[in-house]
Amino acid sequence: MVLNIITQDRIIYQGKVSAVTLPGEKGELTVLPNHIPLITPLTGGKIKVQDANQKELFFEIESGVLEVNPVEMNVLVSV
Amino acid sequence: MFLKEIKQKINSTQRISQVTGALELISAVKMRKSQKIALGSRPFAQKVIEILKRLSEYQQECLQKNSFYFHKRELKKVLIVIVTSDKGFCSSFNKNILKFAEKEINETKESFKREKTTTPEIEIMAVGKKAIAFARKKKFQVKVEFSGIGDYGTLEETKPIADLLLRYFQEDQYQRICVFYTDFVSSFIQKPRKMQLLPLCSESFKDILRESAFAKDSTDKSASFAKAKKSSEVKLPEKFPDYVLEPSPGRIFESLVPQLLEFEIYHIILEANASEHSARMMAMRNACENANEIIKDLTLNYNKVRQNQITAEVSEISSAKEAMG
Repeated sequence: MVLNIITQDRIIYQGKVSAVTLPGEKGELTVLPNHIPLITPLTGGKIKVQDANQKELFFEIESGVLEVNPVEMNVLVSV
Repeated sequence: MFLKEIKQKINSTQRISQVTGALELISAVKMRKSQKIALGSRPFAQKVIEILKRLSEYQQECLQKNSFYFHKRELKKVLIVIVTSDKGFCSSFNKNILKFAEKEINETKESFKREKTTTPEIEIMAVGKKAIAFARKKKFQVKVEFSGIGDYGTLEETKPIADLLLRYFQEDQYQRICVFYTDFVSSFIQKPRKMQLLPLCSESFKDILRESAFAKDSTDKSASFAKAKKSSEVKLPEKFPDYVLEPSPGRIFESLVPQLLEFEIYHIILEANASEHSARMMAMRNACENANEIIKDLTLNYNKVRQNQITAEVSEISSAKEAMG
């Protein structure tokens, strides 16, 4: 699954991932491959990305939107 | 006497070339910066449009119930937003977009007449001093005027425009809102573009995604963007299950759609700014080149006239001497 983390002025992260944990409005949520299509707002917190090599990456966000479709995951972060 | 005139002309042309040269340098700096911002904002804008498009395609039932942003209502009034620059001196930048807008407005009016439906009123929102002047001259009904947006544009500056548009649509003052703006393709090419902002409809998004510069690789500078493009090339399956909207569809539409539209407006202004500065730089460069050419011609002329005068004087002296001798 491809993950794009994009802010209003640049692409922060782009690549294949195996799991992503995000700060949702109702608590943390983890998205794995083949997740159903989803759109949900995000609150401030840390995004934990586990990439294809099982390496963990962290991104701090203030707020944003998560879109999951069958091919890719888009995280639009507002700064 | 003649010599003096030419000299004066040379001097004034030199002064003009100095001014245009300075403006070229300033515009070049502004161009680079505004291009960088505009290109940087493209991946986000593209995703915004893609998400709105998919939303409008997949959630039709849910949309009807929960959001009026997607509703097509009976047209009574149409608002047209025209984005131009505040300042002139940018060759055909403003002329192109205004011509395009005028043509489109007339065509829309015609098509309404043909269909013999009740003709909706068309009102204008002018962004930029040039659009304001244009709308007044053509006697269009102007609803609001905006000017004084900085060279690079910030979200704070463009937010009032987006808020106002959303409010108009919410209050049912207008049933359709279209934006005319200039799309930045490259430093040499800028294209006028029309976009239906509200109500949100998938056809209009498709057009934008197909035609807009950000769907193509325009400049080398958009390297970061080229990467984004690759990912968008991943074809989505024709049909997939409807989105799950958390926490509730109503909440998503209330908070998400305005936010996305706000960004769209911001992005449009950025594109227009990048286009404006690029157009101005090219215009000033041409002006400089022309001025230098004129100076060259004039100098040649000046030397010729001076030489003529000297020859005439010498021949006068020598003929006088002959007559005396």
